[in-house]
Amino acid sequence: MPTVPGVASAECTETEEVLRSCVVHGVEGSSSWSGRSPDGDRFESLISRAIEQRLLGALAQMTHEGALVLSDDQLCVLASHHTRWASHGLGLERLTLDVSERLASADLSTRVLKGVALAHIVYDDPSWRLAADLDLLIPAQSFDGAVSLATRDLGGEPALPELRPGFDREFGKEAMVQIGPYELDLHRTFVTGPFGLTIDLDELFDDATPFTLGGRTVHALGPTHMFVHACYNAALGDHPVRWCSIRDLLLCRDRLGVDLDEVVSTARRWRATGIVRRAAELVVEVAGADVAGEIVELTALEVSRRESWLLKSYLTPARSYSRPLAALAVIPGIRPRWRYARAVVAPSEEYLRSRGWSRGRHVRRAIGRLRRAWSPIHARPTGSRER
Amino acid sequence: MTPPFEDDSIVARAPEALWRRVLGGVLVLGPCSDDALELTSPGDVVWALLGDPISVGALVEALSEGFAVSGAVVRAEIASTLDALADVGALVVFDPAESDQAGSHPEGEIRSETARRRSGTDASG
Repeated sequence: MPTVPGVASAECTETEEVLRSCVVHGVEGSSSWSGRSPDGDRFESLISRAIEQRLLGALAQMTHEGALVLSDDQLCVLASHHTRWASHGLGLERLTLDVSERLASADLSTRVLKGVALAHIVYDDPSWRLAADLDLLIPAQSFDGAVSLATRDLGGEPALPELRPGFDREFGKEAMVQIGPYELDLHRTFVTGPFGLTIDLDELFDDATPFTLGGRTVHALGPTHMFVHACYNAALGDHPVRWCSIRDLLLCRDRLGVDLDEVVSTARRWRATGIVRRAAELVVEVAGADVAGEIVELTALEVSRRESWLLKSYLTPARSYSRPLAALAVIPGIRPRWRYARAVVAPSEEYLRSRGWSRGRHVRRAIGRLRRAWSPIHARPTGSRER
Repeated sequence: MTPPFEDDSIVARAPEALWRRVLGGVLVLGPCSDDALELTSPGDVVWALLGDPISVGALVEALSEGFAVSGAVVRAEIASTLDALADVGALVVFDPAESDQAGSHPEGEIRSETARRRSGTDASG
């Protein structure tokens, strides 16, 4: 079983036991767990790791429900952290309503993604799923309009300029906009790199899961797409995986009622079978096969060599460079490939300035990292190019 | 001075209010405020009871029984909570003169308590 990242071995067992219990708390197939919190510095470490793994909400839930026993002082500390995050979460929900309403008034569809949506759809009580930012999916053809609206009408500041003008609309994963204390991530697709470019983006708006926020109806992805997106987050979102994404995926399994055959069918259409398999493997590693249940079947999915190679580009230390390199393999057409390559190799001066880089430093950094990471991505599959 | 809530006033959470459970109570973000209101006991119990429309009298009675204290003490305790919720737009008041029962109330009968108090009119209009 993987250990909790960043936890010294001496305290690993206690912290790991509690956090693993957080991951599976209330999940089908899990055994009920109860125990006392570790003491002293180990409690501080537990809080830090819970925040890092985005499991602070689950820790608070276990405490609220009596599964985790804390001293009075420990309860104060946990309550203080949780209240701060919960207050932030309420601000994100208000932002969700404001942005959705503005976009709807401009005839722009949206789908609420990740934490804000999952909290209301697959968690028993949204109080126990904390989020750091707001993620909204925008139709690709409306992407520029949505970003303009967020900056113009909502007083947002773009966090980073595009690599080159037009890049985000054609190839990008998202545009980050800072609105007051909140980060709004307007998504064109789920992930950066090749696997973000193989998703049928129009299909994401064919279905929806409505939920109520502040007396109004907003929409998340349809159930199958929400489950597949949870797979993307677990497999590719953070490396090493954040344990909260494992909990999300397990609760998606429990609450969405999706047909795993549909999940696999969708993954095949999007050339994402390797993503679903990796997500399933991580669920088994972190939560155990007993809790994973039917998700274990997904660990046996056959993945093509090409997909395996693309997946490796996400897992190297140089992934900020290996992913764009791999993306060239899935972009159809010479002109789009040229535009993509040009943006990655020669980003605009505005982008470089925002990073504090010179052009030379950008190139040297890329070469250095790719050279170190070359081995894992070296074995390219032979065969026909993508369409 | 803000008029007190009458016993036969029917109150409930405003649908626009956003809220979260926290370990010490609840946080409520009303539409008229940028800061969440933290309600600790008995405020969190009040918020729970406001999940369905309830008369102020019934609210007082429920809390009086639950906490084993007199109605007068409860009224004094919850007055500030109801005022605070009203001030941030998190409370709605059904006018009992216009609705014969809680739960049967066309939207037109529901007035934001904040709007009522800002306009300076009483519950009967």
